[in-house]
Amino acid sequence: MILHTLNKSPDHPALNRCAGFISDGDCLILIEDGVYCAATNDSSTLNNLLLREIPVFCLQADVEARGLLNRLNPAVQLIDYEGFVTLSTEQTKSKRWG
Amino acid sequence: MKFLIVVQGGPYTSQASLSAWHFARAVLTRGHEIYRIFFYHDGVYNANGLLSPPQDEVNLHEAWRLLAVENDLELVICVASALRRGILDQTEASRYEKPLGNVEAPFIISGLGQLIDGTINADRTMTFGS
Amino acid sequence: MKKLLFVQSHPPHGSLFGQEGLDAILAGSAFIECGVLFLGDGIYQLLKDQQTTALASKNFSVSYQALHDYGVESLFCSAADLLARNLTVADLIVTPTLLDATELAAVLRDYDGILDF
Repeated sequence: MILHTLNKSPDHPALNRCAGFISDGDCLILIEDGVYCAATNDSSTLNNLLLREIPVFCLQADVEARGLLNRLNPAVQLIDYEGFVTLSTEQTKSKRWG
Repeated sequence: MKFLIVVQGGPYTSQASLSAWHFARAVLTRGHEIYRIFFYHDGVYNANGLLSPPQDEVNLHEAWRLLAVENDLELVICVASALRRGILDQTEASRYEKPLGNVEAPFIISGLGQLIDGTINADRTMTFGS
Repeated sequence: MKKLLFVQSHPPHGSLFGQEGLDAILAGSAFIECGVLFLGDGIYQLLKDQQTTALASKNFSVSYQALHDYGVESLFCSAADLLARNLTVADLIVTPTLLDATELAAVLRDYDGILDF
């Protein structure tokens, strides 16, 4: 099972590319500019992942710094760096997208 | 659990170094072990001891140095990536007849074998890039 | 760990990711079984006939031909990525295995660790 990390906004092809590689049991954490992926109205890619019950997380410090705290898709879970570490221990490996 | 953290982004060019530093601190706070931090590609710029950001901005070089000294961590920078970017310790500076080196302990210049060794022997590898 | 996957996602010459990624692959091959996955524009690293003299950039791509001698036999790319770039395997200096989306995801699962460039 893979922890996918994504650090690019939805303007970048990374989100769409990474979605095709996410299998059941994997999870996705949006970090740095990746948190913007959870702040748009029209991300069918992100919504499809959520419909598949892929857990999607946003790093809280990145969300706060960008003024997005009240602008995120409510299905996305906020976590801190320690939560990020815990996710990485729960998954067997990680893959970086960006 | 043992972590290898790979830093591929340069400080003040991308957020990668800052994210990696926060992650490294959280690894230790959670009671895990950092097997090694490996700086590759533009990540080697973190080792530049001449970094002098304004006082109201985080000094990433100093942040890494303190984290390493306080927790006895290995900060390894790739020799090939470092030399071509002008990141040299005193030994390399003398070898290449440069007026000064800009890398000191706890940053250590070593080879890519340290990256591969880390991926093999750590339980988890986490990469931060630009 | 038994097998390590290197992922090359950047085209050559615009950055050093490809060249330094290849250096890491060659280093890795001395220690462990390695595979390489070319994703998106990363496949351009394998394009034939790169002429770098005028640019004064290093044509590191030719070193991919030596991967076989280093024991790196598993090269993968996305069939869709090739098609989208108007490429076929005949345009490439080595021949990766073309995979569909399901097979690509399986490659990520199959390897014990992943290094991204």
